[in-house]
Amino acid sequence: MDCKQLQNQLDDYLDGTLAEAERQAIHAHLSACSTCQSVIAEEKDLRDMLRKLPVPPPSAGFADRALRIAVERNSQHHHRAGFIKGFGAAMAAGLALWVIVGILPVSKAPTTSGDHEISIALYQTQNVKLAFHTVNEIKDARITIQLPENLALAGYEGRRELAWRTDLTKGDNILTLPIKAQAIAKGRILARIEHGNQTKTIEIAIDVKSAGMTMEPLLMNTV
Amino acid sequence: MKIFPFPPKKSAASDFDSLVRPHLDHMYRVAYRFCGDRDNAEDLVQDVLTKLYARQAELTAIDHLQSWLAKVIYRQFIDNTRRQSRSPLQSIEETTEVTEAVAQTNGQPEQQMAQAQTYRQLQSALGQLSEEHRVVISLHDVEGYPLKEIQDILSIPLGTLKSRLHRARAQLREIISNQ
Repeated sequence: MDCKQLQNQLDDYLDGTLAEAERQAIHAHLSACSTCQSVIAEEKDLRDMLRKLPVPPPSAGFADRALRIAVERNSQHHHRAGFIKGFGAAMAAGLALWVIVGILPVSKAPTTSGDHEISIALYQTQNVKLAFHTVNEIKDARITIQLPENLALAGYEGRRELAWRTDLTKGDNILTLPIKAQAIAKGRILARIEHGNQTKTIEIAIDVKSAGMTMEPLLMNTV
Repeated sequence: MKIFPFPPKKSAASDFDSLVRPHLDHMYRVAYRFCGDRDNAEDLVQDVLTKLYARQAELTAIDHLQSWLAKVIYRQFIDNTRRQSRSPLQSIEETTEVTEAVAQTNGQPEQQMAQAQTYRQLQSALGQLSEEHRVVISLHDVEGYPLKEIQDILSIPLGTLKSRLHRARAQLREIISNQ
């Protein structure tokens, strides 16, 4: 190995990415070349200084302030949206859209029931009620709700997915989803119930329309 | 009939706080390396936090959040830099910042002054690098990220990363030798 070859392999040598044979060749050259010894020493010094280069601390209270502003900027966005829609909210209060689904007998293969479609008005909170009918009690089922980008669950803004465990009683089990529409678009809410190796997924197509364009709430009654 | 409620409610803000706060120091540190000054680094972290707030569900599913956050900061930095089309070269404030940071370390005042001078020169040299060169040196030589991780953060092949790092070091040495 000569000095030029060593220069070419200097980075890999100091990064520790050279094969053993190449590393040994460099060591052999270094033992007889004071110029390259100096080059390596200077490079090591530079890297040592870079590694120790200080970072001034952020301004006082930065972490608290930055987190608070992130939340505020996002909630301001939601408030502005709510103000624009305004008038339709009272009309929607008390109305609920129902999706009634039988979940037993539950097959071992994942199953999906679809074709539930409802329309809701932009910026309004609309209760969508899911009724799960079970033949037997189910202990410790896992419920997962997934939302498209244009919808939010009131009180859980910013969450695209919500999952928790609960027991289902024999008969009807009602879950109310307070859905807030944040943008005009079609999307699908997925409600998944898992127990052991059994899964049932319910898809609800939501069509968000501008206020004043929505149809009467639909009564879904599908098993 | 059973009416079952949602899970015990924790506010989205509180969830976000617990998820991100442990990584804030590192986020600021990486942002400072890219930007070269405190104000821009704080602004960069703030931009990222504001965007991430709406993506909490995605955040909870990330295995190596620290590295993922570095990637998000990198992308935001590139976006901001392109938008502002201004060079984040060293400013007067940085000189104060480096001195302030060195003053927090132990040592005699003379040593501290000499050290501060060295670091100022180094910081200045880093500030004169192109953005892509500063980013690779900051991540690898300054922050000690392994090449594999940087490859993922920058989304470039290993060969490209190594040659970029090689050129960045050569450029840095040249700047330092001309100081």
